[in-house]
Order: sequence, then C-alpha cells, then structure tokens
Amino acid sequence: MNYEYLYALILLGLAGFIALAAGIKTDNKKILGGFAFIVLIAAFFIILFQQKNYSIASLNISSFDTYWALIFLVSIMVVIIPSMNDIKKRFDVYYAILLFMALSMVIAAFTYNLIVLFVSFEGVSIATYILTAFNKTKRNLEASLKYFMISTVGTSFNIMGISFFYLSTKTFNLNAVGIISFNRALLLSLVFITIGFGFKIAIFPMQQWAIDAYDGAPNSVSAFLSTGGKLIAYMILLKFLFLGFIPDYNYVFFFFAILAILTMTYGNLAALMENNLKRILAYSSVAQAGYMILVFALIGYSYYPAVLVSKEIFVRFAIASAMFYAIAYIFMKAGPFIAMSLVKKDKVMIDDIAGLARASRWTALFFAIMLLSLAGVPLTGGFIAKYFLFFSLIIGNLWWLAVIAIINSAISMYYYFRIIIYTYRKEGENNFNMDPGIKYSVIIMGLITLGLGVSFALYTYLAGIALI
Amino acid sequence: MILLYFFIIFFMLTVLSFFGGKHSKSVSLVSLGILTVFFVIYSILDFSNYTGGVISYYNALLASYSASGITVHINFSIGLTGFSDLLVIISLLITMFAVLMGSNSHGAYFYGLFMAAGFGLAGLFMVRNFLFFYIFWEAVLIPVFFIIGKYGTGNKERSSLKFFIYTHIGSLFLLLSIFTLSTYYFLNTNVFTFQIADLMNVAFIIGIPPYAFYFIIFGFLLAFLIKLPTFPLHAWLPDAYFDAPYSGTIMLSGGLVAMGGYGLLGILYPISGLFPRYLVYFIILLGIISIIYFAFSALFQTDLKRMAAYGSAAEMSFITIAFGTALLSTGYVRTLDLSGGMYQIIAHAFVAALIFASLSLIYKRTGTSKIYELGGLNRELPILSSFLLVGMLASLGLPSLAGFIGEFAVTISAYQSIGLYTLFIVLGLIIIAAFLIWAAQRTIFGYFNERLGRLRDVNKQEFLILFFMMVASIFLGVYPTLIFKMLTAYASHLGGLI
Repeated sequence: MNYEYLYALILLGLAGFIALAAGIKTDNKKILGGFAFIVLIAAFFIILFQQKNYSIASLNISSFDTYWALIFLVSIMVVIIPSMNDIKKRFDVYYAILLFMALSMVIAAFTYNLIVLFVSFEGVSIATYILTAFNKTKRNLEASLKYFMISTVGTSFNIMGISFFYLSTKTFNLNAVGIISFNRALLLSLVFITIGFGFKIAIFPMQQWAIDAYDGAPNSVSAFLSTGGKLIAYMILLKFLFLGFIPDYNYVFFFFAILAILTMTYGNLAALMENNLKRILAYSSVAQAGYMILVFALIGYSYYPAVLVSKEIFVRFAIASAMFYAIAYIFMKAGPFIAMSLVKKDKVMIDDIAGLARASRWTALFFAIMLLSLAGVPLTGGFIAKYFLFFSLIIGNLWWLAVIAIINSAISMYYYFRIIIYTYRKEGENNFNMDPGIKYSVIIMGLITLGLGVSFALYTYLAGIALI
Repeated sequence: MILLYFFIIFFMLTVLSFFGGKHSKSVSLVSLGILTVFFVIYSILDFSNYTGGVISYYNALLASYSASGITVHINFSIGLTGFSDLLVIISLLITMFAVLMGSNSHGAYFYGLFMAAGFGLAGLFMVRNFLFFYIFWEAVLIPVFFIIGKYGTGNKERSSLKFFIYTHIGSLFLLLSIFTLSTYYFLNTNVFTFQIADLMNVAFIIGIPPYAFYFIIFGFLLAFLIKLPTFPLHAWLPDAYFDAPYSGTIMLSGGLVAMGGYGLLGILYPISGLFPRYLVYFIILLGIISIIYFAFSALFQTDLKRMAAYGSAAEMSFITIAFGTALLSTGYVRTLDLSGGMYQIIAHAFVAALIFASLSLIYKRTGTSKIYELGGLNRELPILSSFLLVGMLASLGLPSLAGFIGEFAVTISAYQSIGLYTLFIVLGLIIIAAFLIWAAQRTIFGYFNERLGRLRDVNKQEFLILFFMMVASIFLGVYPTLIFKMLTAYASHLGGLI
C-alpha cells in the first residue's frame, strides 16, 4: 500500500492544532499567518511531487485530482496575507480554521466516495459559517446567519440527492458506477444534487444568499467564499455529473443549459443596476458561475447524436477550460474582493473607489487588469479560460449557447468598465488605506492573472489530464 | 527573424514608455522614430522584388497537445504582405503624429497608452495566426478606451464605453467565426490550428456546409464593418471621435479604422469568392448608403470635429465598395479595385491626421471647434488654415492630392462591375465635396469673427509636423506608383486566389 497521499493531510491537520495551541501564548498575526502560509506551501509541494496515478479504495490520485487539490490550496493561500488586515483578533482560531478547511478540501479533491465528498464539503461549509461571522460586527453576523440558514437547506438537499443516487446505483463510489438503466430515482437525485451544490455555486434561483453573504463578510472571507468555497462545490458536481449520470445525460444537458443561461443573464443584468461595489462583484461571480456550468451542459450534450466531433474531444476541452477557469478565477475574483479592503469604509459604494489611480497607480492598474480578466479581455487569464470554453461549445455544435454566452459577456463589459472608469477619476484620493499587505497582494495577483493570459501551454497540459 | 526582433523591441519600448516619467513623450517619440526608420529600411530591402503573398514569415509553436488522433497546435506566427507592410508603417507614423500632437501636460501614461495602441496595431497587421489576431484586435481597444475615457472631453466616459462595447460585440462574433472555422478544419484534418494560411483557404472552406459558412462570414463581416464603420453599425463613431482628445482622434481615424479595412481586404478577401451574389450586392449597397448617409450627416454638423468624423467615415466607405465590387469584376479591373481600396486606407490615414491635427491646433488657439463661432480664420491664421484647406481638398479627392488616387481607382473600376449605379458613388463624392467646401467657406474664409481676438499662427514645431503630413498627402497624390506597385502585386495575387 502506498500511503504517500497521507503526508499532506497529516501535515495540514497537525498544523491546524499547532496553530490553535500556539494561540495560548500569542495572538501575533504575523507569526500565525506566516506559519499557516508556510504549511500550505509545504503541503502544496508535497502534493505536487507525490506519486500519481494509483487508487486506494475510493481515493483516486491522478493528475486531475492533484490539480484540483493544488488549486484549493492556492485559493486558501491567497487570502492568508490580506486577512491580517481584515480580521481583528483571535488569529490562532482563524488560521487554524483555514488549515482545517484546506484539509477538507484536499480530501474532497482526491476522493470519489459520495459520503466522504459530502463530509469534506460540509467541513468547508461549517468553517465558512464561522469565518463569515468572524469579526462579530452586525453586518458579519447577519450575513453569516443568512448563509447558514440557506446552506442548511442545501445540505439537506445534498443528503436526499445522495440517498436517491444510492437507491438507483447501489453504490456510493463514483468510480464504481456501472452501466445502469434510466430510473426515476436517478432523475430525482440529479435534481436534488443540482439544487444542493447549486446553492454553494450560486446558480440562479439559489443565488440570493451569496449576494448578501459576500457583501456582509470580511473582505478576505468574501474572497475565499467566492473562489474556493465555490470551486469545491463545482468540482464535486463535475465529478458527480461526469461519472454518475450516464443514462440521464439528456436531463443533465437540458437542466444545465437552462440554468446556465438564467444564471449568467441574471448575474449580468443585476450587476448593471447595482451601485454597491461588493454586490457588483458578487453578481459578477454569479454570472461567472453561469459560464462555468456551461461545461456541465456540454458534458450532457456530448451524448446527443447531433454532435459533429467525437465527444471525447470537446468534453476534454470543456473540462480543461473549466480547470483553467478555476485557477484564473481564484486570482481574478479574489483580487478585486481583497482590493475592497483598500477603501476605508465598510460598505463600499462604486464612487468610493474613485481616485484609486491617484492614490496608487500600480494597484489601480492591476485591479483593472483583474476586472478585465473577469470581462474576458485578451492577455489575461480569464480570456484563455473563456476562449477555450466557447471554443469547446462551438466544437460541440452548441452555437446558440455560445452566442448567448457571448452576448452576456458583452453586456458584462459595461459594469466592469464602469468600475475601471471610476478608479481613474480625479477626486477622492484620500479614501484609501494603503496597507502594504493588501496592496502587494493585489499587485501580485494581477501579475499572475497577466501571466496566466499567456500560458497556452498550461491549457494544453490540462487538456492532456482533463478526463477523469 | 528580423521581424520577430522588431516585434519584441517594439514591445519592450512600449513597456519602457510607461516608465518614462517626465520624459515619456520624448522616449516614445525617439523609439517610434527609430522603429519607423528601421522598419522602412527593412521593407525597402525586403519588398524590392515583391510578387504577392506573405513574406518574411516566422512561425513558432507555443504549445501543442496530441493524443489519440487529435492534435492541437497553438502557434505564434508573423509575416508581412505588401499591404500589411504599408499598414505597419502607417500605424507607426500615425502613432508618432498622435504622440506629437499630445499636449505636454499629460503624464507618462498618456504616451504609454499611445505606444500600446501603436504596438497593438502593428502586431495586428503582422500576425498570421487567428488566436493572436484576435488578441491584438482586442489589445488595441483597451488603450484607446483609456485614452478616450481618461483624457477625453465632454461625455467621455459614456463615449468610451459605447466605443468599447460596440467593437467588442463585433469582435466576439469574430471569435465565434474563428472557432467555427477551426472546428471544421479539425473535421477535415484532425488538427486544431488557428493559422490564417490554413483556415482562410478556399479549398477547405468550400467543403463547409452552407449554414456554417454563413455563420462564419456573418461574424467576420460584423466585426470588420463595425470597425470600418458602415452605415447601420456606426453609432459609436461620432461620439468616440468627438469626445476623444485630438491625438486620440488622430489614432482612431488613422490607425483604428485601418483595422476594419485590413480585415476586409487582407484577411477575409481570399474566401470571399464563395460569397453568395446577393450578399455581395448587399455589401455594395451598404457602402453606397454609407457614403451618402455619412456625407449628408457631415453636411449638417455644426461642429468641425464632428463633421470631420463623419467625413472620415464617408471616406472609408470606399473600402466597403471596393471590397464588394472587386468580387464582381475580374482580371485587371479587380486588381485596380482592390489596390484602390487599399490605397484609400493609407491615403486616408494621412489626410485624416492632417485635418484633425490642424483642427487640434485651431482648437488650442480659439477654444472652440463650432463652425458658427469660427470664421475668416485665414486672416489671423494663414498658415494653419492653409494646412486645414489642403487636408479638406485632399479628403474630397482633388487630383494630385492623396485622396484622389484611391477614390478614382475605386470609382472607375466600380463602373466596370455595377455600371450606372456608380452614379450614386459619384453623388456621394459630390456631397463630400459640398460639405468640405461649405465648411471651409464658413470657417476659413469670409469675415473674421472678431470675438476670437488676436490669434498666433503656428510655431516652428507645429509647422514641421503639419508640413510633414501635408507633404505626405501631396506625395501620395503625385507619385502613387511607389506604393501602388506593392499593392497591385499583392492585389493581383489575391485576385488569383479566388
């Protein structure tokens, strides 16, 4: 037996307890944050270099799973330094929670067992309830309560969905799902699972909590909620749909095509009319979820006879672009949320960002680059992700869906550029609190977004490891 | 390889100009000057025996993936044709003019943005791969968006957004077309590639089912016709031109408009032989409507800058017409038509730059560009208003000035293919002449508006800038062969492709 995969998990778990224990002696954010950061980097490299392509029980350690595990670690790493500014006290608990969350996420990346997936997903959820309320201001508590209430509903849907899935397939292990005939229980399970995890991804009818929670949470927690918290549900759904629903693919396509259209259209249109900056970013993250679940629609569509190119190819491209989207999304979405901490006020309206370019032009530039990346402008990471996503839609003969997505993408330009224009206005350069940690986080994340914009080789590498 | 070095050096100089601080203007000017000289010498050496097609081609495989019969190639390739070589020179020169006309109060970003736009343009004309074509197509928009939105006047934020969203919608459909082409190419060959030479190939396109082909040409035409602009797709143009700073307007009218023309004649033309007939007639109709509509709109403008914006759009409609009519004719007429269209793009860049530059200097002195607030400028600003007059005359197509060659070539070759309907083009030409002469009469001649007070004529530096543009306009009018030779070589090669 090869137990190499346990090293990173043990490291993360132990480090979480060490951080808690250290909290008795010290509440120094630099020591605790630095410790958590180093542990995460160590876990990153352990996972990167561990042996791949074998499976133990329902764990499957392939390049695909490793990639997701690494992405989850990155999504936690990016919030560690900015949260030194947002979080006011009890850093030991804060960083311990982040480390435990990393543990859950890495397990979720490697496992294919539904029970384990569910438990690790809940581990992340419960951790984020605490993080959302961490500063105990009225806004935080309200957001956390809303988030908690809604998520509990989602959780119960998940349990129902998993039970129905077991009922029809007689297994919890996604790898072991064989050829099964269509039945009602499977369809019910698809509906429940979509609703349950859809809450976390903020798919259209289940999105409203996300807007409030992202708005009310501390900025770095919003950054995590909208990236890591979303991507884990996304990955679970990806595994689930790709492996579990072979007889139900018609429904998968139908379901997700409609949901994707509604989600992106709603997110973009609502963002057009919003003036609260964090809410604009939240709506934009709903819209981005709409683009991301196009991949599910495409997976479902691959079983239709009208397909031009053999299905393996465009599903491979679609999943590769989802994977690319994930990494680009972490930087381009978390960056703007973190940049909100630069503004001195708690509730950031769009005119509060005016004058950022005068206060610090490099921050403003890289903030703008991340917004451009969200809009899908070339030479940024978001462009390659979107480019190949639309490409796979076209290869899969889903032109109409691509056209709708593209029109949405054009609409979204308006509000991203509106923010950028505000940052370059002349007034209000004294609204900002130029904390170096936040400033350099924003700049570095902007640079990585730019770097991803030219990493075509990463995309082709992902296309090689894409199929589960 | 030299072209690649040129490309990289241009990129590095662009980045450098953002860091120039106080010296940013001189840094940009010196680097553009060096690049222009270098590139002109390079193209003289390279194009001495040019016979059409892509030369000095460089190709690099950036990333590839291949398994189970699928191959994905992501290439970066650059090359020059007779047409795109001239456009690169134009984009360098126009960027230089725009930087020269920029006021000294702007910071380093201003000039950096112009360098970035110039780099984007030059890159766009050089690349021979659709992925990078699209990247540069968008990369030009961003700096221009900031130039309008940050340094413009009036309702600048709204205009810049309108400009960006309009062109972006077009470019997204362009993207879809590129994808569709690539997908069908894959179906034929099992290779995913974005190389222009592979995808824009009649032998392959002819096998695509008609609905897919219509989807493809719809995307291409939408993107290029918005950029040109053509009649129903022009709403971004007057606002963007009007609210941009004058240097930005020079960049828009000289550089960015050439993108649409390059798209039609340099990219789309090889496959346009497969266009259905009614579409060709429709394109010609759009061109003719555009000339007449823009010329009439210009006639009723009360602002010189807005008038020149419409005038510039009317001039560019000749390219749409050249594109359409060249599809109906054959042999030498087609070559003349195409090269006339290409020549028009190049001539228009200089002429529009001359007009907008003189308007900019007039605005600097009088503080207005409203026609009824000016008048009799000839008395106080004799040199400056002569420059403006030369620009206007060149624009209306007076023989021996730049505008004449292209317009004449397009009009006479259009007669070969659409017969007496050419009268409508001539009608457009008459209205163009009418609004320009009428505007000249009301602003340059007549009684001087005494409320403007004493005005100071051009200084030495401004004189030299305008003089260079004027010389270029006259030179292009009296000695077109130099450029026409390259264009005809390329155009006859193109004509042979379809």
